[in-house]
Amino acid sequence: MSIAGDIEQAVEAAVPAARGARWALIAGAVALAAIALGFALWWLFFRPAEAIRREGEAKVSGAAGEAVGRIADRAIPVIVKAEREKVEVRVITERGIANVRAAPDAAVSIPGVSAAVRDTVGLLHDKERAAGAGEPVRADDPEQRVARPDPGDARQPD
Amino acid sequence: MILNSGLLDPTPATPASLIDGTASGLGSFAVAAEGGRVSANIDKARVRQLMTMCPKEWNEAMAKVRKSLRPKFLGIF
Repeated sequence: MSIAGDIEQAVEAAVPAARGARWALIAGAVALAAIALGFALWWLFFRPAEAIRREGEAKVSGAAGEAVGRIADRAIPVIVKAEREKVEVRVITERGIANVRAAPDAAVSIPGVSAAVRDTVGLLHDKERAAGAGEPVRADDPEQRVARPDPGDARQPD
Repeated sequence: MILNSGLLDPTPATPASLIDGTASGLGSFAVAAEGGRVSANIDKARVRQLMTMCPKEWNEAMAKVRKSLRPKFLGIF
């Protein structure tokens, strides 16, 4: 055997390993390219879409919150106004009752008419109770139900 | 908001105890009953006001935000 033959033999022995290394390199490069492509796709398409979606959600919830605030700002004065108007009505009513009591013929006795009116009022109150129309109106929230006093007692005929 | 405003609560009954067999009893019952009726109508008027105002405001706000969400071509137009 010559020296050249030895070298040839060594090269021949090394070639399969070199070939394997090359394949491994190609496979690695392909995998890297695939990852890079995937990342590029995500960066170019999915990431902006996600950002747009998130921005839209923020816009909608911001606008909704703003609208609720504005509605409350305009609705609360309406409710307060109604309460004030009803107090005024109550004052007028109480003054009217006092005037009636102070009228010169206030004490004239009319038992028959009074009894008839009372009976009818009783029937009307029974009907109202049966219809459930005397119950307070609440949003379907048990806490709200408990929080407000039930004016039902005030409406029982004496 | 409207449900919790108290505006839809029943108007209290006119106390039948006002009717005491005299003319003034019947008269004060009549005055109290009319007061209750006016009070109830005030509630109805305010509820009507709220029920037109609230949805209008809400729909306007949602229409505005929907307009701003319209997809733009290349994010420009």
